Amino acid sequence: MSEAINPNLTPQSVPSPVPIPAVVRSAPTPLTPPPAREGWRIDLLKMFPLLKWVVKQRWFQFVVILPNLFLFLVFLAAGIWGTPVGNRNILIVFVWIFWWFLLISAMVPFLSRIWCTVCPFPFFGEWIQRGSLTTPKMATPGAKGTKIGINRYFGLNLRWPKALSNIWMQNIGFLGLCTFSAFYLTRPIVSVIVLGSLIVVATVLHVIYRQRAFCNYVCPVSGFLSLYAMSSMTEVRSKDADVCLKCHDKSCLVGSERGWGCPWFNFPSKMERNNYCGMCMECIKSCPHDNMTVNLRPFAADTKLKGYDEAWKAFIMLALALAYSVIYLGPWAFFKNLANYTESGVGLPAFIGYALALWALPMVIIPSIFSAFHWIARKVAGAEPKPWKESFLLMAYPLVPLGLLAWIAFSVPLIFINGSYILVTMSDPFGWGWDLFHTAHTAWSPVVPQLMPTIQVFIMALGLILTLKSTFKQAGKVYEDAKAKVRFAAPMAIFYTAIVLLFIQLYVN
Amino acid sequence: MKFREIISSVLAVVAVVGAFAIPFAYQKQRMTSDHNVRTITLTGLAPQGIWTQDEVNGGNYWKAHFKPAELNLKAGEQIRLILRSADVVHRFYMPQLGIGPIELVPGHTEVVNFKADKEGIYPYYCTAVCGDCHFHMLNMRGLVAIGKEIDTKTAPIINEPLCMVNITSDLPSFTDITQKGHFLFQTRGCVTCHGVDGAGGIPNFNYVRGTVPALNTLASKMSLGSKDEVEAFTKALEIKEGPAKDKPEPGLSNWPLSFAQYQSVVKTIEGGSPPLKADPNGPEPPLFMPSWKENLDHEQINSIIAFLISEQKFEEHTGWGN
Repeated sequence: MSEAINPNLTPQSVPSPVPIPAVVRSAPTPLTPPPAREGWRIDLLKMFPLLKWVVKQRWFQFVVILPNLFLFLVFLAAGIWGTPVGNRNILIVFVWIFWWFLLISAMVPFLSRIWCTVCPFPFFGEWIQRGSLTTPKMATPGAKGTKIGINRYFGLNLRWPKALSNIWMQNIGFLGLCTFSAFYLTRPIVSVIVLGSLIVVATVLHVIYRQRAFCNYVCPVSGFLSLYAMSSMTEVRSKDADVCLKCHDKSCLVGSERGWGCPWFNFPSKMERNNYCGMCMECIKSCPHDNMTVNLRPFAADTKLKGYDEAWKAFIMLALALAYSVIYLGPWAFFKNLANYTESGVGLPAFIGYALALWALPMVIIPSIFSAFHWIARKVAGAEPKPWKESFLLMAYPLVPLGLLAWIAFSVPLIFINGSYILVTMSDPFGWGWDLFHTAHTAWSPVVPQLMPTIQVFIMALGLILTLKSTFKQAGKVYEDAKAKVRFAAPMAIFYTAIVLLFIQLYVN
Repeated sequence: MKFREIISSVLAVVAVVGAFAIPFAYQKQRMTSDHNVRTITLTGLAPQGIWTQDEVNGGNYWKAHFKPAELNLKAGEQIRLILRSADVVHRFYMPQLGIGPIELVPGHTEVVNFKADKEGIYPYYCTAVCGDCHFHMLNMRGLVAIGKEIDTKTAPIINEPLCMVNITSDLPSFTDITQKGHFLFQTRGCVTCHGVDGAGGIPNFNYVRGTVPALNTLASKMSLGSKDEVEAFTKALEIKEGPAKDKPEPGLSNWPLSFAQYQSVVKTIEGGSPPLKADPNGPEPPLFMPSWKENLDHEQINSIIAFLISEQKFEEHTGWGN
């Protein structure tokens, strides 16, 4: 289980003059200050008072979700009743080209999990669960609903099973979805089924389980967001650890009339990674000491993977970036046909073979190669190493910036080559002959296609620099001795360099 | 607080309902803006090889079987024809009414306004080779009747799919080889590129001649200088084995040349012919002569040739010297 997630609304026993709710009192962990942060921080809310005013408003999240929800439902309607032509249906174009590019190339690297702030998937479930869209409900004796912290919730509010309190479900779910990617990338109705199912599952799980169990443990999008948010240049954190230590209310955890307790099962004042912070800003609202803020920080400032589930997520993402580059960007019709077997007619057995290969690559092949290099690195280093799991997770971390850059390199051609479809579909989202913004007849016009390989190589080279820097830094956490550190890092650096060269080879050729 | 909650709840409901209602309301408003105009939507479907008036959308395209269009227009009606493609590039062409060819890019919508003032029954086609069933798009389902009823007894009926790879339907029985050739020309797809009665003239982008060649002057090219010579050569075509070099048909002035040209035509029909590009560096011309070896037997090819040479217009010989 990933330690980062607190399935029981973890809880610290702190001397407190005010009665701490049962759920908090039962918590075993002593309150300790969060570890010192690496690198610089700029308090964005201090710098931009208007931004601070906005995020502190109760209506903030509702106002940003609402238009997104509206558009999302319009897209679903277009998927059902609009044109069946994928590149002319706004659902396909906006979700799988525009949104994906924005998400992976802009939102995640710069704004962490800002998508979770506006995500429409949990909207209905959370509405039911909270019985409110903007106002926190307070638990009062005899009132209808379940008391968690000092907020009141509707639904069953069961605890999420401990055995599933990790991101393995998200790993499997994402890999499963990606296996059938060619279906929903080309067929609007399949996209409707996939995205509609996520809303339904999110709603049902919100009614059964506490708070954002769906987002933390089930949502396949959330899975990779949690991983790559570690690289992001923004974070929600406490300003002053001392203030949190002395705080008696713990409103960020248990809620208050100003804000809900953290729906993501974090203890915001102790949060040291972005992974499971959905940036809902509730802690900023609920903190009575104005001690929570949004910081700007260096790229890839969170450097700790806390479980094999997170490491495998990194393997999965890297392998899929590689596989997709071959399938969707490469010139090999053979792979495209395998992925889209119902149209290509290659047959079910061939597709099963493709699916098995797609699963084996991230689940077995890449981890095995990584493990072999890691084993060699430990042998070469010579000195007494840290336990296998600890050094494995430390050295798997460079996969995070590398994977993110690999996905950006994969996604750049999507927008540069197919971006004109965005103009077309925004004017005629259903393919019904509308021309809302006079762009419906924009011809398909790839932007600088001849520069694509150069841009991709540049991105991957940047990824290599970040990865190698991170590799040597992480190696220092395994071995304090400088020589052992270098000997340990060298084989891992070779591994990462080989991967980057493989990507470059693909993009150049 | 309660007021804010009520407002936000109302907004949420409006967003959900509006997301589904607004697009349809807007579309309805667009389609009914002019009550004097009859709007007809035709969607080209490559897998079925038909034009349909049914609603084709992302939800039903993959599973539904669509009904071929039946266009019966009243004389004098003002028509707004909305043309769409549900899958691949089609090219809509209704030559007798001067509509098209209009390229239909998948997912785009093209609108043609015309007045149905010319009584008659007119075919329309897809002139882009849009799939295996491309040629199916010109059967009787591709007829527009203006002020008349389509007579299913006289209209060319194709009961089975005419996909290129699977032309197995039984032909109606014909006593006249020229009629049979005409039927095949209309139903096997020749007409979609070579035009009504082989008149040619359909634009072919970047093709060296600009338009698809006319075939109604084939007789001249085969050195058949008169109606009598055409009839004589037709007799040779009626023989099951077809014309033979060593069996010259009586009444033909230049049998060797006629026979050589005949062989050349058969070779082109059987083997196909790539179009020469006007600009060698430009794109491939969209229309090309496919190979018909697998889809037309020798007798059928001879029937088509018989039809085409019968289309030659000869000057009336008056016998008065001029």
